[in-house]
Amino acid sequence: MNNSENIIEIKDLKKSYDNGTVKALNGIDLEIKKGEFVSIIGPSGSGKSTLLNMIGALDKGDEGSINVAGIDLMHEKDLSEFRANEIGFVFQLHNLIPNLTVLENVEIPMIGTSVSGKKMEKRALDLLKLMNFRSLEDVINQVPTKLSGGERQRVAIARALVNHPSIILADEPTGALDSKTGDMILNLLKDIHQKENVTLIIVTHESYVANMADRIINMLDGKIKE
Amino acid sequence: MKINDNANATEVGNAIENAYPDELSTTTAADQMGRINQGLSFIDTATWAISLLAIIIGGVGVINTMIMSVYERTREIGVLKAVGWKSRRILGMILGESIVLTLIAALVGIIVGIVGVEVLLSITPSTQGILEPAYSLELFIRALGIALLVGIIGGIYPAYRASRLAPTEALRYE
Repeated sequence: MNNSENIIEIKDLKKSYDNGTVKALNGIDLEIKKGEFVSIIGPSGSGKSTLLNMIGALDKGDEGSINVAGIDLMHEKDLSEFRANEIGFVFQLHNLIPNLTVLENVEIPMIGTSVSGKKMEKRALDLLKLMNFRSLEDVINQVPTKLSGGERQRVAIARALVNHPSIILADEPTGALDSKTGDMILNLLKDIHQKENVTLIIVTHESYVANMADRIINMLDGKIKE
Repeated sequence: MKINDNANATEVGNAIENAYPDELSTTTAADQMGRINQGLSFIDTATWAISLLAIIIGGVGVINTMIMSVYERTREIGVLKAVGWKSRRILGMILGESIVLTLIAALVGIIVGIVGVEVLLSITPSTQGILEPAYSLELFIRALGIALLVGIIGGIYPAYRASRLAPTEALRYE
């Protein structure tokens, strides 16, 4: 990285689909500092989720450069370790695994790492305690389908934090929740961002969510609006 | 008819048939044994053919089951990739499930097979003393070995497909 304070450096990033006919990202230049809280706002199809997927190494760009936490994502071949160690994803539809318990869902990112079974359970329980469940004992052995939308999203946040990521990427984390539960989830994310000094990037199309961030990035037609 | 040890059974038989044409016919114990052996060998071949057919049908069944499982869990596989699971871990997970599935099926098959044979023998008393089932350790090891092989072969393709899924596409899957 050119600037040691920047955890994300993107230069002229381009991404298109359907043999180049759909330009999802059309030359993105972006720098995000370590510990910053950034929201990406824009209408549907503006490329905000694509940009988030690029930062989280779920997808690769066609042109340009993208450097996240010191890793060149355009040229690194195996990005699974990067995702496991540096990124925590929070999806709109939580994406918990339905046939696993809450505790097992939170432990999943630690499977295959050097963390032992007992430490995995302790780490998962410690994080679930931070998620303000009314009765943690009742929740940990439940399957996600027995939980409310807000509870599921809190489990998803615990899962995102379990490997001590340096960046949390939240794609419309309140999109499927009522406003009260949504506010609670946003406050929880903001709280974690402040306490853990983790970089938080939220994709949203709601301005009140975007306004909670230190910086708002507006996107339109695959570009950042100045 | 018993003949002397040094006599040739075929020649004795031919001599009897020549002496009593249209009245007696002869067959030697060796000929009878040969016919029985031929019959048993036919049953053995048929058994192998049926076993091979069962293995092929089982293998196709495993492939089908595991492909359906991968389809149904596409989104889950996307999540596992998003949280940092390596492709080879996902491959191992699906392959492991396939092997466990076939080994459980083999154990159930062995139990059902033994019970089935005992039931058949008990309801057909005429076969007792003639047909005796032989349960050898080698037979069970062979059955479990074949099941393991079917599990591996049947699981490889679905496991490979799952491991190659692009995370963003898998997460978008409805």
